[in-house]
Amino acid sequence: MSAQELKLELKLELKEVNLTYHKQAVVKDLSLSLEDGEIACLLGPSGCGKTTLLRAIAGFKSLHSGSIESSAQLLSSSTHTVAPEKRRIGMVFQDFALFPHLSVGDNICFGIRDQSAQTRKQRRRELLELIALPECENKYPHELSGGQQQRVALARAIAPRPRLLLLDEPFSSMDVELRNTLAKEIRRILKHENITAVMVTHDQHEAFSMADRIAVMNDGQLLQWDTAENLYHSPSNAFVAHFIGHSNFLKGIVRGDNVETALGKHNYKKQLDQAPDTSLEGRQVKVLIRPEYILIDKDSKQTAELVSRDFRGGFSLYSLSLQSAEEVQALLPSQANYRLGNSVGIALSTDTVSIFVNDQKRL
Amino acid sequence: MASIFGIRAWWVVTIAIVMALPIIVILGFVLQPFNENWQHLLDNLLLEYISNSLLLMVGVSVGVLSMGIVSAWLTASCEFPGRVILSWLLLLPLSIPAYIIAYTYTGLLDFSGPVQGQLRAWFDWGYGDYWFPEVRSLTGAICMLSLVLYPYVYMMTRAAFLEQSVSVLEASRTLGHSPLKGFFSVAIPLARPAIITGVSLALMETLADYGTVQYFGISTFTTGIFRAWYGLDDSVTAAQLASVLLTFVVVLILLERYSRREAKFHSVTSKQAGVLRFQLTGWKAFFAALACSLPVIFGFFIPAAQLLYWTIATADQSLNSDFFGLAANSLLLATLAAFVAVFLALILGYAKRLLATPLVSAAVTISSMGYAIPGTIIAIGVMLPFAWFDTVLDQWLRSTFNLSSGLLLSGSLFALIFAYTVRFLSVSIQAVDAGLSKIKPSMDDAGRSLGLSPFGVLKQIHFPLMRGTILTALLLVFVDVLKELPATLILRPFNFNTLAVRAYEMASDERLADAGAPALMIVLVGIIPIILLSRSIAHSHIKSNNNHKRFGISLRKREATG
Repeated sequence: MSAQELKLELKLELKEVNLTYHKQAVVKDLSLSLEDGEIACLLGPSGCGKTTLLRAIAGFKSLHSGSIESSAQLLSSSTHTVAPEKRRIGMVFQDFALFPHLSVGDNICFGIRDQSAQTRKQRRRELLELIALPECENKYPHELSGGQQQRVALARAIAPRPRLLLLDEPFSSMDVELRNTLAKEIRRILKHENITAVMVTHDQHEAFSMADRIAVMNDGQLLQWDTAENLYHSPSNAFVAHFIGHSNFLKGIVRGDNVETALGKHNYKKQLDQAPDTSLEGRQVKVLIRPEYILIDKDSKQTAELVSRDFRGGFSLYSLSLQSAEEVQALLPSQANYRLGNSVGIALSTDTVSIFVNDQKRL
Repeated sequence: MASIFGIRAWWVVTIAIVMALPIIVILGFVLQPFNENWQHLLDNLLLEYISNSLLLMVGVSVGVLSMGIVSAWLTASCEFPGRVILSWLLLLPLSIPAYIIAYTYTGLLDFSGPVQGQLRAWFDWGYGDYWFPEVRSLTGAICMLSLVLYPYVYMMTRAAFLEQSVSVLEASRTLGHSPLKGFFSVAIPLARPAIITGVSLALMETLADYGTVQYFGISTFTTGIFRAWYGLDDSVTAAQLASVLLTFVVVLILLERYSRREAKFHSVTSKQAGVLRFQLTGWKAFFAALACSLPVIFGFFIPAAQLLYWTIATADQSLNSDFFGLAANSLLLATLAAFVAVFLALILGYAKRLLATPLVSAAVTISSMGYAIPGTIIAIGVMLPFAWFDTVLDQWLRSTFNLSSGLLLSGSLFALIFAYTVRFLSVSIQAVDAGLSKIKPSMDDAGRSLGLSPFGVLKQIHFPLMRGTILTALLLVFVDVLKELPATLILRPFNFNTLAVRAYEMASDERLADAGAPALMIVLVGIIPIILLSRSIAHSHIKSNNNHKRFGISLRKREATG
């Protein structure tokens, strides 16, 4: 595949995008690219700039510098912004923004009014089937439940077959249960239609169940652009490790190929926040131990005292006090109801751990 | 709770019946036999009344829609120099009653006025040498009414535009619509209920207008009713004519109700705070500012300047003790009516809050119908039963005690105050409702649980919270009464004059300059509620729901045209 072909395959390419709001930088030098059919997610705490970035991709916000391209076509630069209506980028809004004066069917066809009546009718029927609401064609938005409105908003956005679909916190107004089913449902629809999509959320579980790749953002910066598995098990810096999932950080000292902590000696993975050429020998580092890495091992010489328990159903989250006086949390099956105050032998289920050198101030 | 406050349902029902009395009387006259005057009307005049009234309504609709929607959209969705100040200046024409703007433009544009005079001087024309549009015509009346009534459409539509979720408009753009196309395919359809409400309110005022059409010599229902009442001295025909006019009003009421109900389904609540406006620059910004300035200039500044000029020119004759006597009369009437209306509104408001039964809410609805009914109809509906009562009482007293009671009710201020209350009760009801809605029922409970007696709740919670509301309600009724013309003309006691009546009489005597001082006074007082209103508009898109109610107050508040 030539370079040009490769570029055409890229449904979205952000190059060193900088965005400002009231002269303050809200997105800083952000670059990433998205291949055809990929579902991406911008994940981060509120105020990290993810929604602003989404609006810039949609064309509602101009760039301060950098560029946004799609299939080798320039959409935004500091001097040039293609109007939203000319981008062929669909968007599902946080409040759905359905047109209350139009029926469900007319809402869906709003973006394809220029096509022939025959095509419109066919696409309308096809989409109503796809979102499993064929009986709602003539209803009005206020007659639908929140989840139904959500699906109509999706159908409306994808009806014109946009080159890219944006979803702005699409599940924020729903309860947890509906969120999960809808996320699965929407992922199925997007994959069925082979739609490239970018979703914004602050909820990692939504991101995990929807996205192929996730961009973790904080303070306007892209911290890691990776699969959910890698974000969890190989976070590139301490913020990501902390933001995704539960995490314990233990003090460790690097000795040769190993890192020594209160839990023993482990192999370690080099992380992005370490300059590749510096020697780590003898350095004090932070070692990421996920709660489920910790196992109870009666034979282990490492012991810890059980301090407290947080029952979570199948598992309980225990706080353990190590001999080093550090406290870690461990996720253990809840049937083995360990007595608080007792000491137990513990071990790690993994040989290789992640270590971090730089102290992230924002932790 | 209701029993503790001492409010009973039958009070409310009684108020509703009394308030509905004038309408019931008018409708009762439809059943009376039609006399020869009616036949004459039917043969010669009724068609003219109907066609003139319809033409007026069509013309005013076009006028208020074009001025109202354009200015609303520009100030709600675009950014241009002067937008903020124009968005409240655009309300100012509301303070000028239509009959007063009609006097000013007649003074300006008549043959003897400064405009034609200047043209003759420049071009050395004489009488009949040139064509000049006649102000005192149907077209002229349409222009006058449109200039002071477009703010209804402007206010309602602007509020609707501001309430529209930004993301709805953005959604239309991501689906390939340009901003202008989105305006027509999304913004306008969503605002349609608000637009219809605004137009129907403007048309209610158009139908109620007497001063303008009378001065311009256009035969409409209101002038016809006056002619039958005074010219033919035929109260039956006047009442029957009034009932025909009433059917027009009912259509407008239904239209307004329907569109308000529809608005609920069309409401989109925005989660994103703030409005993103299109930044206009260069000639676009210039034309936007111009489009928003013209209604203000022609609807307020030119007529106000003319009134000021007349007032100064005639100051030594007009600002005498006679004038202050008129002002005192107006003040007295307006104050009395305001207190009665607000007192009744408080009873109705608390009844609706505490006794939430269908009977009570129906009674409140009936009590607030007056805003739609032309003052002429209400005046006749008040006069007829009162005159009948006076006659019966007088005859009975004469035959029994050989005493004469004279015109006890019909010739007194009581009849006037009653008519004003019927007409403007809805103004105070809406103000009180808006105020009460801010006091949640849980606050009453909280007060009680913290040891307050029911009276204590009223004194320590309701009174402080309602004080501003009550003042607002008093002010709104006060201003409306001040402007009211036809009901005052019909019901005023002999030789009792008000500012509005004096302006009308002077204009009718072709002494326009002498009408200036009383008219200016009415306009100046009328500006006060506009300023209050503009303050609430300034915050309208921040907490739009509450303010929507407050819009409602001012919207229905005005008897502009007399």
